[in-house]
Amino acid sequence: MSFTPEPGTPLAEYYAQTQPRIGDVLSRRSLGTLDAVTIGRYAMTIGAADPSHYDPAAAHSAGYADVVAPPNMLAAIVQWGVGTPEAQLQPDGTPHDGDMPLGDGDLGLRVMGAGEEMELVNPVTAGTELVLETTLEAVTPKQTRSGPCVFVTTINTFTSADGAVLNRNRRTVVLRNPLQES
Amino acid sequence: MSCHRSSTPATAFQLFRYSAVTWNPHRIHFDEPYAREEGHAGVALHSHLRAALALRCVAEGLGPGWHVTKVAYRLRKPVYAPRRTGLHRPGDGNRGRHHDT
Repeated sequence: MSFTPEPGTPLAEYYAQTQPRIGDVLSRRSLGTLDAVTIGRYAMTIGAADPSHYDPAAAHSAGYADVVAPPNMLAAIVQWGVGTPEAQLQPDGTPHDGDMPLGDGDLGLRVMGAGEEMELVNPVTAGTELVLETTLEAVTPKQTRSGPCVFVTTINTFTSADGAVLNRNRRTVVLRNPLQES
Repeated sequence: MSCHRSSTPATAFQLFRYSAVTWNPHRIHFDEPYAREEGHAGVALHSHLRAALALRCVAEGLGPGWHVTKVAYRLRKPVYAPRRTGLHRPGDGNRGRHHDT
């Protein structure tokens, strides 16, 4: 059964803004060069023990060109580069200019990750120059036990600068009205 | 692969560092008063952190001769720090789910 958010709610405004953009390439940009320190920090933070995340010699022994990123590291990084000034972040801290469309204006929507399908095509090693293309695949409103929400799915394709596909990810987030409107 | 449980729980401190290393300013992951204003029961584990911990369980359980090539997961409800995680293999009656305990 199809569902549309209640008119006049932030969720309805978001759906009206975003649904027409299904199929659009939202962005294609260079992310810069991935460095060994960032890889090591990510690995350390998740408690990964594999030395190929930290030590170039161990990485070479395992067949990698340099230290290798843990599997979901590229997908996990929210902002590449220096990020958004604090005064320009939304009240929940999320950036307007991220890869996931969060709506124009301060809609106050609550957002959470809902799942992902990842294809890890090639290992991601330090020194790789990264490019990310994001396409909006689906915008689906649903009525759930916890209230109305909109599921937003993007296809995120990470490649090296020479075009080799590294990761191909389908990511879904769920957006809900501000708590006071739920 | 037997049931594999992480040795340490996902703590608020780990969430803070994960937000830092992924340059993720979303307040529900490190600002507990704000998270509760949004209706959460505490600071929420990042979806990608949950996935990373599950993938780490898989990689450490399988050993160095294996590589993950495809991953698919759905998050049915938020979980909050501190939280110990583990992984059950298919055939244990839980369809190989990553289990937040």
